[in-house]
Amino acid sequence: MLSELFSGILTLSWGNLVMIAVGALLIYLAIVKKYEPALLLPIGFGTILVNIPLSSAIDQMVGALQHRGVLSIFFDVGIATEIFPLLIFIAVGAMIDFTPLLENPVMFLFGAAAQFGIFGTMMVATLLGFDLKESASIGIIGAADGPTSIYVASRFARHMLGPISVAAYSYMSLVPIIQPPVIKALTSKKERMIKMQPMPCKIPRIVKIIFPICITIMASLLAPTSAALIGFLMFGNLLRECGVLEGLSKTAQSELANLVTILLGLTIASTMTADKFLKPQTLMILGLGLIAFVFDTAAGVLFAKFLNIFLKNKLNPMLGAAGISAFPMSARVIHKMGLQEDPTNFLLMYAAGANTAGQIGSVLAGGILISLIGGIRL
Amino acid sequence: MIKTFLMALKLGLTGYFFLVGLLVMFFLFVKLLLKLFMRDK
Repeated sequence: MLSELFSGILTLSWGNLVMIAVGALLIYLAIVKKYEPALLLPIGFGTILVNIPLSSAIDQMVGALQHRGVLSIFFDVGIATEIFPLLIFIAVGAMIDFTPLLENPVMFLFGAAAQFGIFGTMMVATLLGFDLKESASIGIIGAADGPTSIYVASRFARHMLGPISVAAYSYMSLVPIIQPPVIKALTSKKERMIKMQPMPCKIPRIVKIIFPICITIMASLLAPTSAALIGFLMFGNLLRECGVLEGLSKTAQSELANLVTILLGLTIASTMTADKFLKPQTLMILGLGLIAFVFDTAAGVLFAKFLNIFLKNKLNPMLGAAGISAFPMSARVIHKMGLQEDPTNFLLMYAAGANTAGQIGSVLAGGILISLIGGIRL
Repeated sequence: MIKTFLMALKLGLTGYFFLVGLLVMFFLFVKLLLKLFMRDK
């Protein structure tokens, strides 16, 4: 009888202890280092919760009967069906102001170029022994966009969802550490000091309303698998820009975002069990995620330098690096780097344009990957 | 592994350039929108 009462302690393994330490580390990073606390804290706490032996938070076999755990149920309802990441996209869309992008549409090109990390890392991952679907799921860490990473990984490699999510959110918060050395290695001081041409005049409201509708139609027609992703993102943006649904827009930006973030973080933690996480593969995924961010940054900068060969009014090549989706972190990093080189060089709005283009690019990249790889039988 | 890599190379490059094409199209579309609605500004 006593052994049943103490069954939790008696079945505690080294794996459980290590994972509880991982959970505590994530909580530490969230609170002390402020690395994406909204996600890393729920993931960290959830990791502790699911690694308690016989935890009722996740599915357990009790004799011949399966006891359903609440986090496993959330996983089936929210992640396996892709509902949670899609709801987050409504919130993200409502938070994003595309005005800087509309004022400088050339920034769309950076939003495309800086997605190279996704595809480049996918190729590298296959060389490390991952199959195509796993490689695509690892590559999507380079989207620098948590919900897109979760969306793609939940389709292709659910067993790797934990490390992929942790890598995606951790590196997003490490953008201020990852991007500057790559940018400095690829640009000269003179290039970093390039000042941008003044922004054109005010964007009419009608353009801001037409934009999300038409982008959804065009993207969905050309890449139907991205319809849900881009559609939910742009729907959120339409709520923001339409001007008649302020209440819904604010709800999407605050209550919806916060509620789904809590559920998403805790639910992802249900995949962070010792048997799934403590593998050499996890270290490889974390390493490849870093490579993806470096590839993204390098591709954006090199593409901007390439464009400058043909342009009379040169673009600051650092803006290429803002084409990754880590919004608004990356834009702030580029702005700060510009100010370091020349205190009168204000790049924030241009970088924000490239950054929002990166958001659209990363979402489309997710849809394209699903379309290209989803149909392949391995 | 080499076969998988070659497949990833092919799909990766196809996907990347398709994405670039799509965003170039958006760039042209926004240019057109601005031309249409900012003519008098």
